Amino acid sequence: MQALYDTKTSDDLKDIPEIDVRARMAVSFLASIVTIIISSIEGQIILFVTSFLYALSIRRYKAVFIAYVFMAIMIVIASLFTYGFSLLLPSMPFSINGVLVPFLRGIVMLNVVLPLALTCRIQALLTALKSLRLPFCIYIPGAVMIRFIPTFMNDIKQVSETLKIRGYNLSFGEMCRHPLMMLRLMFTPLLFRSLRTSEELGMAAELKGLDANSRFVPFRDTAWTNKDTILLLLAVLVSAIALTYHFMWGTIPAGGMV
Amino acid sequence: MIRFENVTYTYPFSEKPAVKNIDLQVKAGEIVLVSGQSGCGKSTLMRLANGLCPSWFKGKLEGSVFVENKSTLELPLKDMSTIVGTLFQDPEQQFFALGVEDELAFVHEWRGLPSQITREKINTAAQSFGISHILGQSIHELSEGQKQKVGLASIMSQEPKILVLDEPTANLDPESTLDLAERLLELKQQGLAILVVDHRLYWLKGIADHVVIMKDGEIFARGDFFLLDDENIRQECNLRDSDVEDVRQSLPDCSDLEKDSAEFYSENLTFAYKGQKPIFSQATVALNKGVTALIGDNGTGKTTLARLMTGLNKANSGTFFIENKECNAKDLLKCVGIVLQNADHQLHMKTVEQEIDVCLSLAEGKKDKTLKKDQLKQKRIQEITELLELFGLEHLRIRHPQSLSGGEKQRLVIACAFAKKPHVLILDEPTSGLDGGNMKRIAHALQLLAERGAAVLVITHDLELMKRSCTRALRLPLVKK
Amino acid sequence: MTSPFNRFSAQDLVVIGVFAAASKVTTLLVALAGGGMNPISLMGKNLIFTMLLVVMLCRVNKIGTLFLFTIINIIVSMLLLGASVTLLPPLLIAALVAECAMYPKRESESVWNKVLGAAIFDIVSKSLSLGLSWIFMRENPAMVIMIIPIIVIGYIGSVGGLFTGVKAVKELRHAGIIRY
Repeated sequence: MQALYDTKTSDDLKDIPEIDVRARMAVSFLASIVTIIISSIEGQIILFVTSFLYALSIRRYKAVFIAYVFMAIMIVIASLFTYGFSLLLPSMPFSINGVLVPFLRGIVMLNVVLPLALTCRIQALLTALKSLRLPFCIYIPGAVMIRFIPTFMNDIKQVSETLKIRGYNLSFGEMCRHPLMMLRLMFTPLLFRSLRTSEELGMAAELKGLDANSRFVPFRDTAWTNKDTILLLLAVLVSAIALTYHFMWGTIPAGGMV
Repeated sequence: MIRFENVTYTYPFSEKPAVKNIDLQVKAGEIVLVSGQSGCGKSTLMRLANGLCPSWFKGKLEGSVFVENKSTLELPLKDMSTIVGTLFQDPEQQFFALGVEDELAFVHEWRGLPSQITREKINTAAQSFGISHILGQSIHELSEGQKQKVGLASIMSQEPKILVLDEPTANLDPESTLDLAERLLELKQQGLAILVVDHRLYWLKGIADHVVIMKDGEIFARGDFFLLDDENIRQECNLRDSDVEDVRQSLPDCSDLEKDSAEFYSENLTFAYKGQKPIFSQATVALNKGVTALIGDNGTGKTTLARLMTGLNKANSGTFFIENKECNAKDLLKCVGIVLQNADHQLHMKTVEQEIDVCLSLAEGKKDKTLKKDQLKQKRIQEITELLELFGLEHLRIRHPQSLSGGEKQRLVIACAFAKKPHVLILDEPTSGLDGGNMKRIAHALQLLAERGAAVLVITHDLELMKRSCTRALRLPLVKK
Repeated sequence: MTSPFNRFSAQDLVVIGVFAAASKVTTLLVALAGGGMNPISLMGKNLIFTMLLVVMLCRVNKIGTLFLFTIINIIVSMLLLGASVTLLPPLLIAALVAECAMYPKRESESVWNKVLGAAIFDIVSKSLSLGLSWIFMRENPAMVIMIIPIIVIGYIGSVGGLFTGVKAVKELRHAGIIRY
């Protein structure tokens, strides 16, 4: 999220361990598979603790805290709903253990995606995209998407300011009363702008001589380092421990479908 | 070298040719300037030179266009791109990367050049265009002049033989415009064939070897730069002036205006963006009825001041008065109008008429509740017609606003701002990219609004607009009175 | 080996990228403006997404457009917003099913073929994400029930998006931006 608003180079990220984006993506992928497989509380706790330490390693404590607050609100709402539901349907009893595993699963996912989202500034994102060595047909639209996200954010801001100046009421209440009109006012300029931008950039792409047969050689090296290998090995190790614990000694919550 | 031999070109879905019977040559080491009113076919000429017509736009080409003695029909666009470099009006729209260095590297990376060579090309281009110090910056942090340099450096790093520029000065301030002229002179001396399509003319005096004036898709006149001194030709083809007086220093300053006589007045104005040093500190702003130019270098806070005056940003401290009545940010939003640079963002409805109608209804909704419904309707229709006539848009009444040309859109958003009947109207570059005729029309409309008692503040690099309509200048940085 | 995606021109790829950016930005802002989970913003963001999808499918009238758009969206969402890789299979399957449904008349100029594709993409992706929610919350079925109204409200927005998509295409034709 932060990346969306920050187009500067990553000066303030210097003290954060430099981990290749491919390694972070692999960790996220591995964690999502393992956390789905594991349905025992112990296994999830192992994943939670280690992934929490991984999230803290980026040293963005405030951002992690805010994400946790949002997660906590969701957990409270979901718990209240589940509790209410158990009163209506006794066949679905409420138990702390029953809600704990799905919540831990959600938190583990949050812990592994936060380092990916919070350490990647949007300008560095294109470099990250290059490092994935994607084919032309995926790299170009991906690069264009990243390139235009800040532009469109700014466009929407300008459109809403224009509406304010004209005298439109842009309050949330007004949006609820006239949602379609508001959507038209806000997004018609963006739709036309998207089409016009794609026309101009498409022309620019042709004039730069880009086509599917272009061979890409990055001018900046994005080398895979030992740190990346260590992170991946640690992720594999933790996954193995959690899976072993789950299958050998795991406690499955009662009432669930495993 | 570019050579047009009896070229006629028709776009798809169109029966009328965009250009007819064109014979033209741009030799190596030569600059040819093409001008003419909006829609005269000069952009098509540019697209024919870089191969976009017909390779990309399709359509029907009769006659032949040659670049470096090869027909553009026989060269795929990929090969054309190694011969012809094209720079658009808004170079940012051409950028694929978010950082300057990445943008300079982009083409070479995709041409598969070894990283060492790409690095050398970046460094050479950056040095020759004086942009080495901004290589690490984001493209969003650059001024228009810097963007232009990055765009040009990126093109020149590909070592083309021909350069095509589409309205390159539309967004530039006078200093950056002269800087560009110097660069083009250097490139011409290096042997490039350069085709410039522009409404602004003065900056190429002494640099352009030939001038071609187009009208209705055909070459109307051609000759050397002195051709543009002919008042009749300029009038006939809605051209801008060939010689422009810089009035930025000579316009009387607003600082001598008194609070009681000023239409807009602000005192003790202090503003700083979060975590940054103040842009304005205890400053005074005064505007009287009439058209005032807002003058200041890049970064002196022209846009910020406009936003504060409109109520879009809230000042850290300071008091605002309109007609001697104190206003808060909400009042400012009601009484001050602003026309932003990008017209596309300001058009939301399905027809030109609806666009003005909705602005009038929003303005009247607050101001006039005494009229009956049918009276209101009659009055509205009359006002819409008046505004459409004032801006020469009456024949476009039922057209979709987004289908209009750039100049027409610009006039429409100004008409919408007029509909608000603001006490103060701020316009940000209202004439960039407009031909002489449309620039004069807007200058006239601004004078008319001023005569009706409004204070009009124009943020502009357009020296011709300034000369024609502005009577005072508000100069930045602001000072405490 | 020639990639099946080589038939896309640089222009097509740019359109896909620009629309991916527009849909990401708008849906995100609508979600943020409405505080995330209220029904209006849930419907609004789905409506905008589907509308943009219909317009994009009309603009890039080629087999594989939706599939490519989905891949780009997932990769950039993972990098930018930290979206979970678990979203990948449902969206890719939905895009494949929708591509198959559009295949017989994919390169015709009819807008209804694109509406069909977008409708199938929406319904399949929503159904599969419900299945995914079940996998995530299988220990507590009551929580899965809580997700159902959220997905249904979102789907109502998507259906609205099909209609607004057709309207938007008509308006773009009126403005001369889409030529057929």
